[in-house]
Amino acid sequence: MLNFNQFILLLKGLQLTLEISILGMLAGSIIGIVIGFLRASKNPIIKNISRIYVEIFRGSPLLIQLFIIYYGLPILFDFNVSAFVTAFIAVTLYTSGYMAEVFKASIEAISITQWESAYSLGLPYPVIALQIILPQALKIALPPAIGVLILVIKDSSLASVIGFTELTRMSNIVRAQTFTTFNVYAIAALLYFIVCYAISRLGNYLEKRIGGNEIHKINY
Amino acid sequence: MKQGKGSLFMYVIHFGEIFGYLDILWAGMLVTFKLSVLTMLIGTILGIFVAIARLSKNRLVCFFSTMYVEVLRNVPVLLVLYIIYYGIPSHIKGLSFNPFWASVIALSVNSSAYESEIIRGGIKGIMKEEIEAAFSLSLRKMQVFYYIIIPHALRLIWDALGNQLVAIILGSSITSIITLGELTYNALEIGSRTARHFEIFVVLLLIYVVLGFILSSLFRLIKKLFLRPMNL
Repeated sequence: MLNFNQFILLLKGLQLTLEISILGMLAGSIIGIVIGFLRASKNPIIKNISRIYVEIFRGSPLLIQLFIIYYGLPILFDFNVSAFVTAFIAVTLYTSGYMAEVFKASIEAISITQWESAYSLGLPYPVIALQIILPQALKIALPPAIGVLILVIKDSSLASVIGFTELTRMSNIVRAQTFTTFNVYAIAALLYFIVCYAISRLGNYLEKRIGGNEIHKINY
Repeated sequence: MKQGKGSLFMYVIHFGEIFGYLDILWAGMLVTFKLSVLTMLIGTILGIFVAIARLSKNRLVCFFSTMYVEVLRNVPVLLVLYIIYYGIPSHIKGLSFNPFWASVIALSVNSSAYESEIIRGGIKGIMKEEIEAAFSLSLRKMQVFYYIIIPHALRLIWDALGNQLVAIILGSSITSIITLGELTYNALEIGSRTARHFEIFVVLLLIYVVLGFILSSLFRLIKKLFLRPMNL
């Protein structure tokens, strides 16, 4: 088995995993909201261009996006990026692809009477989007967003390949120190499982509490 | 090649060199296809068993299959891959997987958890009345399964199955880490041979995007042609 110090190392890795996941999730959600509104627009040009963005970042593996940013960009421009920054950028872009689809679905789930009555009151588009549609969309988007968060926490394990020391890489390091391969990976798997399972149960609970009945109340 | 320090974009992007290595890329694609098809087949078959187990009345069977699904859905594939490729051989003396079969096992086990959820959703989506009606027409169990359950469930889960296959192909890129010679690994090799890392990664990304797009379009096409809604 592992001794105590090595377990603390694994916990440190878990901390970094959660840090990069939550930071990436927040940044990606902000970008995702913008692109979600673009996706939900009526203008076919805007719709299709944003669709290309989403197809690229959802339709390609996170590993390759990591490689492009970590190995490709320093060749192109003349600076080096640290593993943390590339992991952050890659996770943000990857998340924004998923969150754009989530927000597109949430925005389209809002009854069109909201838009119509807001326009008939003479409100400009930014005000409608920010103050009327967005709060409702955020509520609807919460359960699938938690699913994306779990996806991000699991896919953050790929950042270990470019040297970002999160839980998976830390378990590789501890494994090299102690030569107890199976145990280290099993404990790391257990840590991932506890975190992700807890978050998914939280998501179920939130879904029940939020209910979605709010939509029916506003509909007339 | 870089011409000098101190200014952005001194690197000349040149895609031409890649064309000399297209055969390596093709070899990698073949391995990716083999891996993905095998994974999808095994994952679906396993998924059917797990789905039936999850719907079972036996509480022990139900509990263990639920645990199987939940563990595999909440643990990263990379870790499962490490456990199978490094972890298990370290415990059993003399056993070593080659990267291809370790990848097949890890990816199909992981995929079976998701497939079982899809299939379970498909089976549950069939109304009980249909099955009861079929039995009341004195169809045998196997006939009900073949004529009623499978066609109906297939139509319900077809989109999700397509998404799963695309996810498997994208997920197969992870296996390059344990040096399986599939698309990503071969692209990395080309990159180090030509030192044109940026170009090869962009090409690789486009290949995956186009592959995913073709596959999902294919699934939509098959749905349109062959899987019209049944007149029930």
